[in-house]
Amino acid sequence: MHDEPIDALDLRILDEVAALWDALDPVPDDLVTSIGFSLAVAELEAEIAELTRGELLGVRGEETDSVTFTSGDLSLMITTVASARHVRVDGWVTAPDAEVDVVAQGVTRSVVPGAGGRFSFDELPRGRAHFVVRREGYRPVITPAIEI
Amino acid sequence: MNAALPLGVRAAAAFHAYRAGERERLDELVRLLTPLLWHTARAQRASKELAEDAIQTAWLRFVDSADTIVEERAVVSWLVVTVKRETWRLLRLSGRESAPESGVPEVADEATPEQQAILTQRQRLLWHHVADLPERCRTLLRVIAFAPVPDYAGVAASLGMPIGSIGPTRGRCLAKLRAALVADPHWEV
Repeated sequence: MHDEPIDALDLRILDEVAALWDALDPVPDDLVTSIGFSLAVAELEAEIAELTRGELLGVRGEETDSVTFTSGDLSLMITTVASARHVRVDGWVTAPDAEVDVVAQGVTRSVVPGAGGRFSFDELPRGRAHFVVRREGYRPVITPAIEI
Repeated sequence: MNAALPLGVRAAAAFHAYRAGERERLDELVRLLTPLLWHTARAQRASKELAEDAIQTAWLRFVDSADTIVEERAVVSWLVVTVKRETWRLLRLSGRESAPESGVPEVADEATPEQQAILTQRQRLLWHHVADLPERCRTLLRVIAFAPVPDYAGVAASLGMPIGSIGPTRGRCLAKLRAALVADPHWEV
């Protein structure tokens, strides 16, 4: 009977399966909004950096954590140190002539790295944050959001 | 949901309009397809955070590749495949491939009282039968329950679980669940 066409009872069962999973494991409320936001940023024709080391995820607590993103010849390393309310981000980018933006909870801040590509942001709000690297003559590079 | 809402058709239409320059139709596409993608990632045992990251990355890639997706009707399958691959990649990277952390119990007996409380009696009964299925069937049914019927076979194939090539046939997993429900005297059809 598995090769019969789908009928009305099958559709009802599938609807009930969908409702079951919707109740057990609902889509997070803010997911659609946060996707919309990252797409708006990405439409700046940005390249998407790929996470190549570390974890994007999870509760970081008071610990220091570090992640690396890569896009072509560009690498961006981010280290976070969290306190109760705020996060300090220390970073390093392989293009010292770049400008680095962080977008966290609706707040955007920019920094020009010092010699050797080092930069930092103080007192960022906790939560999800993107980084955008801009270089003269290149497409901007955007990272996926990380939990900081 | 499946019969009343030709999701695949609406998705293809929104994608077409977006490519033609109507930027706001992308938001519609995200709203339409994110539930399907959420359950695609979570059915691969991704934690909630990992699922969110995989879906977000898939959408970013989608915008990046929008010009190269030739077949507008293939947009649903394209996103499902991309989310599945990105979920696997992130799971491998975090070394959690074999350590499920989904936070959702596999079977009704393991549910917390809170989870039990949000379900109707009929849903608990359904969950019991869903939990009795082989794991690959649970995964498949969880995802295709959120897929539009015309794309049902395509989505199943994107998951690496083809259910037959001609038309939207029931497939073994749905046939199994249906037989179990029909045979259950407590289940009122």
